[in-house]
Amino acid sequence: MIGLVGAIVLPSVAVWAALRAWQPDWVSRSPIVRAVVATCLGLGASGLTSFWVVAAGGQFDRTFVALDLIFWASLAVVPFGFMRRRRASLDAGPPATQTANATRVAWWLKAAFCGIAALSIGGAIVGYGASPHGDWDAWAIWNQKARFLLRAGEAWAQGLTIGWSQPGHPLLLPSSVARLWAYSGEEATLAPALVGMMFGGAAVAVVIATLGPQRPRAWIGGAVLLAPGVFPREWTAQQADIPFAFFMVTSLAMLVRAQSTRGRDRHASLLLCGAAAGMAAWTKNEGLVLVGVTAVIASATALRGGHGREAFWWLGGAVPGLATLAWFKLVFAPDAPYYLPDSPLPALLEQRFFSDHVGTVNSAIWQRLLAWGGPWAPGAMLATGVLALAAAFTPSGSAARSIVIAIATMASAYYAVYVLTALDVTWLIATTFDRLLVQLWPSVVLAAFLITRHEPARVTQAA
Amino acid sequence: MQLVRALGRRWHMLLAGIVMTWCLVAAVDNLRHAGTPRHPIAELESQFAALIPHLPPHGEVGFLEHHDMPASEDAVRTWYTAQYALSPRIIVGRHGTEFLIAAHGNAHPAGDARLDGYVPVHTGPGGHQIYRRFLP
Repeated sequence: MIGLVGAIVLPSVAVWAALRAWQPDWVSRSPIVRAVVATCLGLGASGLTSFWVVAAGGQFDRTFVALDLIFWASLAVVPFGFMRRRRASLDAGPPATQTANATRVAWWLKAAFCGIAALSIGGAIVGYGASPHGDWDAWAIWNQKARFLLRAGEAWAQGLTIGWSQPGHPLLLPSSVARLWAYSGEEATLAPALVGMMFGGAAVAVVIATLGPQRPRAWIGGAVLLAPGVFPREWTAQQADIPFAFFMVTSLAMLVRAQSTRGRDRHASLLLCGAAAGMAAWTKNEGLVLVGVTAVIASATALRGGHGREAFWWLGGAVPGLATLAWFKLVFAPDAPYYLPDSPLPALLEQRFFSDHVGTVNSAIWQRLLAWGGPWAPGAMLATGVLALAAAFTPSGSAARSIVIAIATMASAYYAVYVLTALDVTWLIATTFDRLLVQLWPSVVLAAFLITRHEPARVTQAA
Repeated sequence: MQLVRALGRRWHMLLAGIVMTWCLVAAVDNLRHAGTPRHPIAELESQFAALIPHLPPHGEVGFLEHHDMPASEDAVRTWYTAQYALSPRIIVGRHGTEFLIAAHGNAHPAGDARLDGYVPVHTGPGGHQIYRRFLP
């Protein structure tokens, strides 16, 4: 247990310290939120470095643990020497007007949210107890690859010869889990379950922090985020959709922050936007779509501000994840994902659109979209999505617009795969649609609750 | 949004109360159903893991597919769980390998020709058997 805790804490402290030394108010003024987000970014970063070790011929053995411990401990110590007090300079929006009535409402909302969060965490714990090995893809794909990484030593890539285990799936989650197992000295099922719960909780924290914790909308948004049963249930499914959801909402939240800041804070936000997008791509293949859309929006943001070179901050953040993905795809798993079509595109488009295939896809998607959310939250995605669209079309909705554009691009990519796949599309939708919506859900909620956003005051670079 | 602002603070509080109550009820219902496992494999995984000492440490190990419904969800779950438990061995769905695993119920009860040339060497918990190719 000590090893497991140490494996989580070390990279988290390193990331937290490095970012705090650079920009004290990154993500949020709340130290709790920064700690939670740093934990997940640290898990992502350590998932990258762990893969670099095994890809270069290393193993998840005691030597790895010792070197990894020294590496992250060193990274954690260095930034403390560069930390200095900085005047707090940024908030998500103008300060809320505090009245006696507003204070009571805010406290009541916070208490209600805490109750809902406690119930969700309790549900995650109960779910872990019922299924300690997680859901189907957890033991068929993600944790199985983690076992190959840990058990097979230099021959870990043999696990990529198992066709039904999706060898082309990126390895952020398996390498992170294998690293935790290496530290703890055992293959505890708690490790991957804890990873899922931390990423799930961190996604909620990012939404609340971005909406502004001093505003009621943040706590209502957080509660709405937890209402559909499928979202907290996925926390302990031990699959890659929850980490992906965190990286996506974090990337978009940083993009929104970059659009309303200047100078060092904008640079830090663009760097984190790129880093989160790169880690999303190293988590699941669809992360490449997120990389593309955030690259375009980040570049547009930089150009609109008159400092086009600021886009390189985004690129600097994204490079580690993208380079790792390229290395993996080119050297270890060059096969295309199983769901992509292998027929020529023009002929495929003609065949699909002049058949009942598109109608079948639309019907299946519509049925699942209406039911998504569970018995007490059916249609939650649909209703919240409409609110997000409304937010995007308000005069002060530039932040929501960026998020909605990203969500729409991701959803379009998923739809294109469903239309073009050679697989049984009814089966594919039944086994993937709910999880794909889980990936988008935190970002949809964030965009929807930005409907009450006031345009933040532009800030100049701090002295 | 202008309509909502026009309703005034009291209505904002009422709306927030309705939404939070709904979220609370949904969270309670989520907790009630959280203990329902969707794909329970813990026991099956431990049964296959018990076979590890009797198998080679790496390489291919054959897996006898279900004699009647090899593509059923249960049959596929059993095979995938065997792979998960026995990694880093590669569990292949064919016979002819040095070692062959016959999960409980996968062999034909009246005799299975796919096991010709194999002798049983170990029976583990759950009735899963390890066969080894017989070399005269």
